[in-house]
Amino acid sequence: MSRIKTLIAVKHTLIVRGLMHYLDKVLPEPDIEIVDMMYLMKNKNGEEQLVLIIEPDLLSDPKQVTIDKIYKNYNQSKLVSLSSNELPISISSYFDENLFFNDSEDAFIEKLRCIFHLCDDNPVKVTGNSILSEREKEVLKAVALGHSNKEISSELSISTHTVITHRKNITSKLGIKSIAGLTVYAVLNNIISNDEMNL
Amino acid sequence: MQFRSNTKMADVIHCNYMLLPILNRFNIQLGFGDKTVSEICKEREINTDFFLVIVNSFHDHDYFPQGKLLEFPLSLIIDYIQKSHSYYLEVKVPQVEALITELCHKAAPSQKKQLTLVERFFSEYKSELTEHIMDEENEVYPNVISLDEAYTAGKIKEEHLGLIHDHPIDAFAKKHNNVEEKLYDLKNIIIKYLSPAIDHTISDTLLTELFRLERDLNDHARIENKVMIPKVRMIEQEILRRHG
Repeated sequence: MSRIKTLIAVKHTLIVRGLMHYLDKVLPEPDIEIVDMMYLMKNKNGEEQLVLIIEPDLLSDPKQVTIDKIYKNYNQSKLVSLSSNELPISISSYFDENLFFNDSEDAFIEKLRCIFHLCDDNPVKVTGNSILSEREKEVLKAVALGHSNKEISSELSISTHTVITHRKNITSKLGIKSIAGLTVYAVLNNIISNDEMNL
Repeated sequence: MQFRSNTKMADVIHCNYMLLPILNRFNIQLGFGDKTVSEICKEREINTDFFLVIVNSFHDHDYFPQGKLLEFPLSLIIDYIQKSHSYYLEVKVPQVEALITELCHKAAPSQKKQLTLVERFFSEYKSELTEHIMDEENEVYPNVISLDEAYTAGKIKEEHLGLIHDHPIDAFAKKHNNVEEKLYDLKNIIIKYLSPAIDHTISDTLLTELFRLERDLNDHARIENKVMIPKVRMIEQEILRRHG
């Protein structure tokens, strides 16, 4: 695996040091740059795969607009949040992984490993937790029934952006990319019935 | 290790039996005794260099002499691509289908339903692949060949300029989608989500065939995307430069 650069935008030096300590444990030669939110807002890097570790509390208001801008500036990169509490869905859907201050050491290291494994060229992208969340099951059901992103967005009252993020996560968790394949999975797992299937 | 013109053909197969279908595409049959690659190619009127480049790039993924491949005539490359196509449609796909059917026959009643899903999934894949290939053979290659012939003979007519204008190779390159996606899905469905088959020898063979087919299609796509398309693009640009 090639070296992946990590950009860190968090507030406290102690936390930065702590993160660097764990990155050092997980990566053979960590390549880390400490940046601030302004940097992430202003600079674009659409080509390179980076990992961005961000403390969402530091996002300027409106937070969703700010994170959306960063998401677009770094569209090839993995976004990781670091926070004390669960984030609202409008924000959390932008992140590929959520780190919490009260994560146990093992959980924290495991998450970091997953994050960097995801940046691998290996097409088998399986995250640590391969069980679908209830929300993901709902999205999967709608996808299997042949609904478009737009339809799913209005059915579940979420943005199309969130639908796309859910779909990305479902595919990476299951290792199934095509709609037909997802449909087979949905039938096998009784998420939709045989009669509803529309291959 | 790279195969050379003086490598014995038997050693090629000993070294990598996955190359057997490639030999078939060149109409080379087994029973070669101690003959070398160049001797066999001469007998069968095959361009030895082209054969070696193809065999080596399938054998060793780090070896992909794009520049060298671009030197061969387009007709040779397209002929090879078409032979691969018929191998997929006439040999590989029916083979996989037969294995799925066999698995269905031997399945426990509770598993039949699951396997019917797999059967449907693969038959959908088959129509997709067939359509993809037919589109290339009927729409794309005839144009490409006529351009190449006119270009080589130096007889460019109005119609050729029209072809470049209406059907540029880049339009094809753009929609040239990846047909391996569903195979990848099917592998995962079998590996991760189906209940285990009663007769695991059949499901093992099926999986092995899927892995092989996927790899073959990947190598095939490399030749299309990195050799055929750039070569046609070059011819188009050259024609436009002179006559456009």
